[in-house]
Amino acid sequence: MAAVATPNDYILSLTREQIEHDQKIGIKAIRLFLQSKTSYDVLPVSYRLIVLDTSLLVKKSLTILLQNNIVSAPLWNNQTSRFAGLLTASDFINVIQYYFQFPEKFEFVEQLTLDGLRDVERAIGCDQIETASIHPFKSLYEACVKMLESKARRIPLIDEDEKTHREIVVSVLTQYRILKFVALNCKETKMLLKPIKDLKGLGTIKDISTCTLQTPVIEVIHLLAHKSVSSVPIVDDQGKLINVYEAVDILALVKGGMYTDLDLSVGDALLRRPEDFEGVHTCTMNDRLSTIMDTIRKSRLHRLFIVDDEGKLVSVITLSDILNYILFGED
Amino acid sequence: MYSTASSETKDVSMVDVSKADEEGNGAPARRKSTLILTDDIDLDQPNADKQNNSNEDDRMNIDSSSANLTQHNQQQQQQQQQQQSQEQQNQQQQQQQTRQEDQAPPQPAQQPDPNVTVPVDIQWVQGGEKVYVTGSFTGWRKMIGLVRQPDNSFLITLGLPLGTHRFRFVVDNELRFSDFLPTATDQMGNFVNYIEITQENIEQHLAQLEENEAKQQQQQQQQQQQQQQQQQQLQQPQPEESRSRKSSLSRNRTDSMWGLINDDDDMGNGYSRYHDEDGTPLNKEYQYINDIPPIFTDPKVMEQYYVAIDKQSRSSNGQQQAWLHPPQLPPHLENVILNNFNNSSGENNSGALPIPNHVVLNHLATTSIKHNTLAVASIVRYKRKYVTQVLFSPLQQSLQPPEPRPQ
Repeated sequence: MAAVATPNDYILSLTREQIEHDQKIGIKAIRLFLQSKTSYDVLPVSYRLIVLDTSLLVKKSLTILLQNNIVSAPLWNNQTSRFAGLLTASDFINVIQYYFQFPEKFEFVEQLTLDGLRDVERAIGCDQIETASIHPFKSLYEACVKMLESKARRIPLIDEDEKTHREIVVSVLTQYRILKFVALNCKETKMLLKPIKDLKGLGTIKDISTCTLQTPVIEVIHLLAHKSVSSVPIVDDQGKLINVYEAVDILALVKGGMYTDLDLSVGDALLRRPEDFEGVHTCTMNDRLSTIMDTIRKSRLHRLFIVDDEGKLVSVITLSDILNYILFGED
Repeated sequence: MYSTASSETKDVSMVDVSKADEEGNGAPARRKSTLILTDDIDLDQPNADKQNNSNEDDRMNIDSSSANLTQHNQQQQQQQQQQQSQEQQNQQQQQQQTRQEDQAPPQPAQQPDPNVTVPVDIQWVQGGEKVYVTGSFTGWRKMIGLVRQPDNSFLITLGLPLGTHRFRFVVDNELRFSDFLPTATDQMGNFVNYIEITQENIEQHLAQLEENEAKQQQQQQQQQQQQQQQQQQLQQPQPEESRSRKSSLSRNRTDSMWGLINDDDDMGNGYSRYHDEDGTPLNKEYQYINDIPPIFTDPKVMEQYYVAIDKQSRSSNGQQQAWLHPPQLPPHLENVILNNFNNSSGENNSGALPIPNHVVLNHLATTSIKHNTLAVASIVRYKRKYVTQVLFSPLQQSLQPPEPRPQ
């Protein structure tokens, strides 16, 4: 190391074979780490968990999410004393879609409870509230596999009460928290030096839907729902990435049960975004997973858009892509 | 937001005011238990109606009484009569002192100094050649070398102040955490080892130091002081009873101090908190009795006791019969850690909270009902961690109008 001036020079001095080799060893080590740690290990010693009763009105639950600065919450059915799935931004998308299809049912939407969400989701023929769950003492690896299988971005940790043998919701883990945990505690992430363009699943160019600032927000909402993605990038007429509309932005849009602003343009809808928005993260095809994991460690991000030298949108890397690569890549 | 606490406070408010939390982000240690424990001392010294009446006195009481109890039983009985008048004078003097203390603004100095440190052994048993420890106690900047032991483990004794200390080991230039110490994810998401220095740890440590000193120099004084206490407990010549009561009190107190810590020590799965093991007060010999002190059984003694403390509270300008009225809420329930939750902080996306005082576990906190929605929260243990669950639910939308709830 002493002979090398900067870390970058060091990386450049490595041969292709060395990088290839390091990458394989690094991924293997991270996989072992994920197998040796449990979801419980990720939890702080003391933490808060907000749970919503399913008899709450949908619009009240929205207020609660916004007040507490969270974007999802586990649900509790007090009739059955059981965990009743997760409430996420996609549920609000479903309500908006339902309202858009049946505008005459305004009263019904106004009085909709979380229980009633199921019926709404059946009526528009879309997914149920995510219900895959895992025991906190199962390995993180299993939790990741379950998440990837169910295409969920978060997974509730469910245990059984020792005395009553009823389900208890211990916490909810997100893909981001697991990846951040890896980035913080696995020094092997520094060995992942292969450029993204050479990584299967990460560097492959995906077909992504885009919109412009003038697109009506309802069209973007349809896109989010039909493509089951968590965000739609906003580009200008040259195809340069300028912003992103995320599923969680919908919470601010329909704040207070206002489903009347759906004809706004995306640009206007974005004005409702809270000020602490983390920003849009980008990378290039030549970036390495080591730097991406470092970014995950430092800032809260849910995807990285791949742009070219002119800032034009090329592709996207989601957290599931990264998890999928760590779990199943390089074999 | 949640009832019973002022909303302006930050994390630090969970800590006893006297303890400056040096690393603001460190989770506060157990706080109020010490104050609660001093309650039974208040019975001994009813004129000392402030709870922060110096802990040092308390400690002295325990030490002197328990250490010398057996030796001086006989003497005391004999001396009691002679010394009574003298003792009363002493007592009055002490009352005056106490009053002066009470008038003075509550001084943190009366509490143990926040700079007091407790020696803690930090051990690494997972191999390696060069082992260092780094942590919140050095601001994560310095590394402290551990000394290799004959059994190939590594050991260092650090003096740590009150609070929760997070640390990791650097083993042969690699950042690691010990599998044999409590681990947790801190607010930033780092996986770390941690150790908690509680008020009790510090008190024990101080008590020990004092005890050693006191044993050598102050036997005579202690003798007097002890009798003074007994006088204060019951202003009547009942040496047997007062002594047995005192001994049971002090024993209970010490027991419960240890009980608390024992509870915390055993964190399950073979994890335990570290202590300075040398010469702990456990070595003390205690005297156990089978009789229930008559103050609990004999109405006459009980009445005399009440009359005595009422007289004292009046003479010390206390509100008449103030001692008869318990506080509306035990003081340790006044702080609700949820009120200290910083919503806007982008760092805290795992919902991390300060470590709760164990006495608030399994209590129910509620918000006032807003927009027909009620939030209740309770802190429960989940294995070795604490979950503060907040449940939002609507008021029951039954046909009957909801009953007005008592506030």
